[in-house]
Order: sequence, then structure tokens, then C-alpha cells
Amino acid sequence: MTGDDFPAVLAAAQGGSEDAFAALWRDANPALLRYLRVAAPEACEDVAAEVWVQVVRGLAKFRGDEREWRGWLFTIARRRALDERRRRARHPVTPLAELPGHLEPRAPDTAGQAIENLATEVALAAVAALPPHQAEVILLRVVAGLDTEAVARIVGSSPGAVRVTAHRGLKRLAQVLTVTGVTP
Amino acid sequence: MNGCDGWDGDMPSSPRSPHGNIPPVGDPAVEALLAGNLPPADAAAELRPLAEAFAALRVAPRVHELAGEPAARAAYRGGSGRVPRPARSHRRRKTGPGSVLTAAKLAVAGAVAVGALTGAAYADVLPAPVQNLAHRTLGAPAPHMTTPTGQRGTPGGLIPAAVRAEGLCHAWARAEADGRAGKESAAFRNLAAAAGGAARVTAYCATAAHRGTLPPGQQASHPQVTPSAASSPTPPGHANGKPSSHPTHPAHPSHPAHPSHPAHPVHPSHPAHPGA
Repeated sequence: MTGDDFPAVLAAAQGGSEDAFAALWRDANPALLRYLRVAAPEACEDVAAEVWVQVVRGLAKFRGDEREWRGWLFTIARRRALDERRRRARHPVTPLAELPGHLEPRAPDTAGQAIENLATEVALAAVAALPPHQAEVILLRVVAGLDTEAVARIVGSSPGAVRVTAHRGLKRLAQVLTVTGVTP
Repeated sequence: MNGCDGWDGDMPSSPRSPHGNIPPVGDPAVEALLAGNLPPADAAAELRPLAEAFAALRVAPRVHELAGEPAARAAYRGGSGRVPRPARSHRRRKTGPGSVLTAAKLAVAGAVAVGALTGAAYADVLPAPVQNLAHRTLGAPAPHMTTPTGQRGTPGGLIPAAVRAEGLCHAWARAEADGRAGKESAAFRNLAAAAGGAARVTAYCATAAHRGTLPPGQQASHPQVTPSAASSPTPPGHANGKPSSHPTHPAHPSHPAHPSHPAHPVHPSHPAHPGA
């Protein structure tokens, strides 16, 4: 998170600083990709790229703080993910002629990163196993770092309903994550 | 590398213990958990698995998640332009009557990729914290307190075997994709022999894939709650952080058009506007 620097970074990006834009991108893209891996699993990088296209277009007109900035990003991301899912529902047979990432040359992650990566995979898989609405609310809260009110606006629901959904998601996730006799 | 390998919710349904000890809606611990403010070490026992999982969701950005920066910069320079996705070697969209072979390869490769995680977990080669999470999530064995030999990267031990295993696994995946794999095929027999039995093949291949990514002599680090990807929550409040006009209608409808020009600019950057 860019934190206290955010207003200055945003202003610079809006004023034409590529480096400032890159800082915003680096800050948000990882969370965006993690969200989209569940929301648009077959095309998360494509959808992320589309999100940033839209961000670039709307950047000059954006007004808001960092929290609102993230809310805006994930609002776009959610719409794009929905578009993508609808598109795939209409055209279900469109195989991508590529291998999944695990069989491609790997980026030079360090060992530690590889392990973290694996833990993240496990966690994302667990969340993806939730009912879609619960998974989405959990990801918007935990990965996107949005508060209940922001999530409510994004998903078009009330804060109370979001709290309940999140709670159900937690309970269900805990069931997935909990096993008897876990050795610490 | 690909950042989205398509988790589709196909998780093993878990015969987990009943619990239901999550505090009620509105409980401060629940809120802290969702806000990423509950380190696993501080979490009550019933919340610890969730805290561990959420910490893993918030780890620091990884290499592949930042690989698209040159493309993003290019898009920014282009203003309304298209953001090329990160350059990838085999990226092309196949339209028209989908190749059966391609689909089969994809299915096999997907199975291997998805199995990778599970297999590594079942093979119990992961560091304890990750193994613990996998144990809970996937029903993999609980972590051992002692590290298996080889995990420390003993020279000559782990990596060559992993490389070999990966070769066998790929050979099998290919053979299967081409329709010439069966349990009797040479590829499978070799694989089963190396894996120590036909039933262990999936786990073996998955383990191999991941072992191959770990350089020798390096140890795992614990996933940490890193607020870089998702920071501490901002205080709840009223906000209407939208652009003054909603820029939600892209000029290029829904297909971002994979650009024909390379994603990575040769000339790094224009220093015209030094950052913020």
C-alpha cells in the first residue's frame, strides 16, 4: 500500500508520471490477480489487463482517497470478471492453446517465494471452493483490503448482508480448513 | 508464467470435524480476521486456520504478479491504448473448431497442475506451516516436526531426482494427451516404478514439479501477513470514491485485443516525469 504517499502518487500519475502509475500498478496488481484467479479463473491475466486499460482511461477523472481507489479498481474488476464469465458461457468451446503455468518455464521465484506461492495456492483453492458469493465477499475483504461498506457497494448489497455473507463464508471455510487432530 | 491456473472449486470435499466455533457476526475477532489484522499467532484456536489461510492470501507480491509492469507502463504511455498482457511464449487464442488434441493436452496438463499442489502436500515435502495448511485443506498428512532429508537441499540428493521425475511426468502427460498412454505404456511403467507404485504417480509428479522449483540449500520462509497487497483496513465510513464520470465503458468492448506489438518496450522508460 502506498499509504501516506497515495495522494501524491495518484496526483503524479494523473499528471503524466509513468513511474507514479507504475507504483500504483505494482501496489494493486497482485491483489487484483489473486481476486481474479477466483472470479475469472480462466482468464485472470486478460481480465486484469482489461481492468488496467479502463483505469488508464478513467485515471484523470478519478477523485478519491486510497480506499476509494481500491474500491474503484475492484468495481471494474468485478464487472470485467462478470463479462468474461458471460462471454465464456456463450462460447463455451474456446480452448486456449496453451499450457497451464506450472508447465511453462517458471519465473525465477526464490525458494521462499515458491513456498509462499504454494500456501497462497492452497488458500485460494479453499476460498474458491466456497459458494461464489461468499468467495467473492471474502476475497474483496481479505485480498482487496476493502471494508464492509466498500464491499457492499461493489456487490450491490447492504453492509449487513455483506457481514452475514462473510460470516457464512468464514464458517464454511473453517470447515474446509479444519480437520481433527491437526499437528501444530 | 501464468498467474491463473483456474481453480474451479474442485476441492476434495472434506470430512472435516464439525466445529461452528466462529464468533458471531460483528465480533471484533471476526472483523480483525477479515481485515487482515489477526496474525495467526494471535488468533484463538478456532480462528487460527482461517488466519493462516488469510495470511497466505496476503503475502507479498510475487515475481509473476509483477511481470506485466512493462506492458502496463506501455499502456499508460499509450493513454487510451490497449494494455498488452504480459509477454508469454505460448500465448494465443484458439478459435474455430477446437483441437481435440489441444483440449486433451490441456486437460492432462491441468490435472497435473492442479494435482501438483495436492501431491506435494500428500508427499509431505512442504515446510511445516504450508504442510499444515495443506493438511487441513486437502487432507494431506500433517507436517512432521523433523524435516525430511533432502528438503534442505542436500547436494546430489533432491534436485537431480526432481529433474528426472519431471521428465518422466511430462513424458507421461504427453503420451496421455496423444492418446497413447495407458497403464501399460512405457511412460507410465517408468513413472510408476519411479514413484513407487501406480497409486503414487499423481503425488509423485506433483512433488516433482514443485521440487524442481526449489533451489538447493534454500529453506522455506514462513508466509507472512504482508500488507503490501492488501493493507490494513481503512476505517469504515461513508465514501463515494468513484470517478466523477464512470469510466466503465471501454472503447474496445470486451475483448482487449491481443496486441501484435511486443509487450516489452526496448527503451525502458521516458524519464520525462520523474515519479511522485
